[in-house]
Amino acid sequence: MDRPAPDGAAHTTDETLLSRFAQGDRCALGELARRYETALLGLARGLLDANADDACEAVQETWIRIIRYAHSFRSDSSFKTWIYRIVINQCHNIRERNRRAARSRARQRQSAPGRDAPPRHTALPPAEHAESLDRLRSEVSRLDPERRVLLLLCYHDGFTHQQAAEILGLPLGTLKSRLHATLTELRRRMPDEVRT
Amino acid sequence: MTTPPRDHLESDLARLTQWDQPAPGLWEHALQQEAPPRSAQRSPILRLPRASLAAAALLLIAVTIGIALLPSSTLQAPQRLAFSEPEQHRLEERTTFWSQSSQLPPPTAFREPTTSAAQPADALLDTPQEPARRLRQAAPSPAARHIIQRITVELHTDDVRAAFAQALLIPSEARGEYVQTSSMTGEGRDARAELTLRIAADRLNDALGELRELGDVHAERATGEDITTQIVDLDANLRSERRIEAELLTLLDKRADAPLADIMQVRDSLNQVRQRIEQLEARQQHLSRLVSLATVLVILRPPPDDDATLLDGALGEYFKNTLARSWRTGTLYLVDTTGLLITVIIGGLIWWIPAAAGAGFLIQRRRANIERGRI
Repeated sequence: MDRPAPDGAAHTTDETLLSRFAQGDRCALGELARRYETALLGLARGLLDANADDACEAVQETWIRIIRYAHSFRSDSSFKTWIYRIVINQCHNIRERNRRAARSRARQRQSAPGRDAPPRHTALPPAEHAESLDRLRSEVSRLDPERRVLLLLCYHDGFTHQQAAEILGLPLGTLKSRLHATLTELRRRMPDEVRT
Repeated sequence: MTTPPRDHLESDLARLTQWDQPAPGLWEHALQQEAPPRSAQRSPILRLPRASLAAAALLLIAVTIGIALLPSSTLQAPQRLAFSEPEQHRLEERTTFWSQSSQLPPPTAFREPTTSAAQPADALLDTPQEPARRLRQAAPSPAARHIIQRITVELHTDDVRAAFAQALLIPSEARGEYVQTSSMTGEGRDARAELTLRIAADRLNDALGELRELGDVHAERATGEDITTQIVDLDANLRSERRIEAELLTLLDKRADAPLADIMQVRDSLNQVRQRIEQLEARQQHLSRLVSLATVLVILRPPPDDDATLLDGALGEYFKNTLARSWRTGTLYLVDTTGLLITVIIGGLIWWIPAAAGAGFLIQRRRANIERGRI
């Protein structure tokens, strides 16, 4: 959800800001960051098992690519779609890197769990359901990458299913069916958490 | 629209992707890392449109490559004919030789061509001394050579047309000389003329002297083809055929009462002999004409441009001529470079098309990756 913009920039589209930045206006990039950085950090943390450091790295890499390829953006899709695609790919890369590192450490020590190591740093907000949140995070982490991204994206920052489908490049019907299947799977694994 | 959560699961899912802390300003770190700070005032060169700079750079590269790859002979002056230095001294020697040979019975003083009328057979009957006497007569003396002469002369003259007209007047029709071929092309500095003159061998030196007066001798070459052996063989064959003809005529006279078939056979043989004699006589006349009339190829051209620019103290004229020459050279360069580019482009189409298709595919894939965020 977009936060209130400074005076004069509220009605400027993301694509216009990107175009200004490509022509040398650094403030335009700041305005884009004001609109998206917090939301991107939230999604990245959700995809990276609440690891804030990895989330910051993923978002910074996203901004680097935005800066690098600002001239190449062709507006075939919206800027919002584009930036979320980048951050999802960066989260995937970091996740794979962590997994390879964990396997390497496991081989070296001939111990350690087969799954990803617990987050190095977490910043769990105080919540009434901290334990259930933890368990949910664990179950989400066990999902395969595609279903995990689909699930978190559909419940991120007020995204509509249409927006999520556009980002993931899926037909709307396919997205809904997969989402339903994933939710069913989660509910099956966490029957205690379901309260009607 | 998102459906309202039915349970805490969906609300907890939403909370998984929340960030409740202040934004750390990662975009500024990325900006410092990826793009160094730019100066406030850009260089004037960088203000030019990128497309113009790229086009100018490509044009400069293309011209440089074109000049480097142009064949060196393309821009040189038209190659002069590979003549040797004027061989006047050699011609003098040969002229002396020709003069000596001309004191002997002239080449045209061959035995007159025989007619088809029969000669008295008795006079031609072989005697024991006849073959040797004839052999002595047939064998040419060492100085009586038969040479087909060919001379090539290249002259430079400011007025090609006038020299051409004067050259046409050199052959003497009374002596059987004539202009075999002549051609005149172009005007002014581009004028070119060529003539082929047939000049009597004994007057060759005088004719060459007249030609040399028409302009500056740039090159002169003389060749001689010795056909003495051919002439001797031709004479011997002709004498033999005539003797056979005489014998057949004698036989025909003596055996007038012979059977008709025999007479017809003799007459057939006689016809064949006569045909051979006529062929040999024609060949003899042809060679005689070649020997008696030398072939002189005359080439008339204006002097080269370098000579034209060296005017006496006319700096302005020199400047003008230099500019004209430079303009012409530059134009030639441009034409040759354009031709080279066309050759490379058209000739390499079989490579350009797959390369362009491959490049287009890579560019499309890269754009697709950028759009999908796979960067």
